[in-house]
Amino acid sequence: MRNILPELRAQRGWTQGDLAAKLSVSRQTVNAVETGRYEPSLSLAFAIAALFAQPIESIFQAQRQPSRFTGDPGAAPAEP
Amino acid sequence: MPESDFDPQPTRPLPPGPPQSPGYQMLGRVNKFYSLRVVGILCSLWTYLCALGVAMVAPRYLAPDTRNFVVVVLPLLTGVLVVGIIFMAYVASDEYVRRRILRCAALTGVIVAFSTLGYFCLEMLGYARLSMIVVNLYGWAVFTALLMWILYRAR
Repeated sequence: MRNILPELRAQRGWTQGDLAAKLSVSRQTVNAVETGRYEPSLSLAFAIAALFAQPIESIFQAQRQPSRFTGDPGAAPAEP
Repeated sequence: MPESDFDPQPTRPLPPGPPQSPGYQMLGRVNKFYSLRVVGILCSLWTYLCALGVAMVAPRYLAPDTRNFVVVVLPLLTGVLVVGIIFMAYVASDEYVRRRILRCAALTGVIVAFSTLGYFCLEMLGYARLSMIVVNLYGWAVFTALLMWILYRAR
């Protein structure tokens, strides 16, 4: 999952520690989310979205995986 | 999306604090690391180790009626104390640190299991039989080292 947290943080001139303090999490958590090592829980994602006043999907974008069955990169599921 | 209480406008950067010497900054980090939870975990673990030591020595000196309490109940109570304090540290951590603590517990289990299996193979070759108290102490040492590392990184 990709995210634009570093850009949003840089726009506001916040350090990772500042953002961590505003979200009430550790700086390590912010670093892990920014580098993609950790996907935040729904509640943390909502808190991040509320803090930056943006919808979640504009901050976090899912990287589409190649379909296991067809091999197409990012194949959409078949309509019923 | 519901109305947010947060200011959507980019705020000004935080004003720089007073200049601090590197030694003062290092002291702040050390003080933060040795927070109450780290001190609590280390102290409770020390109590547990002392209780184990007393339990090992007690049968030589105590009467049979008080021996059971010292050998069984005392290490059990201090063990519960250690687990309780570690659980409180777990609850006080955020979600990422919680996940790392759980991973650390799983990793400890794997390390202890493979070490015990390895020593079992050595026993088959003629080495002395391993006491479970050694496995216990070894497991706690590995778990505490991993936990301290996680709490140090999350400072």
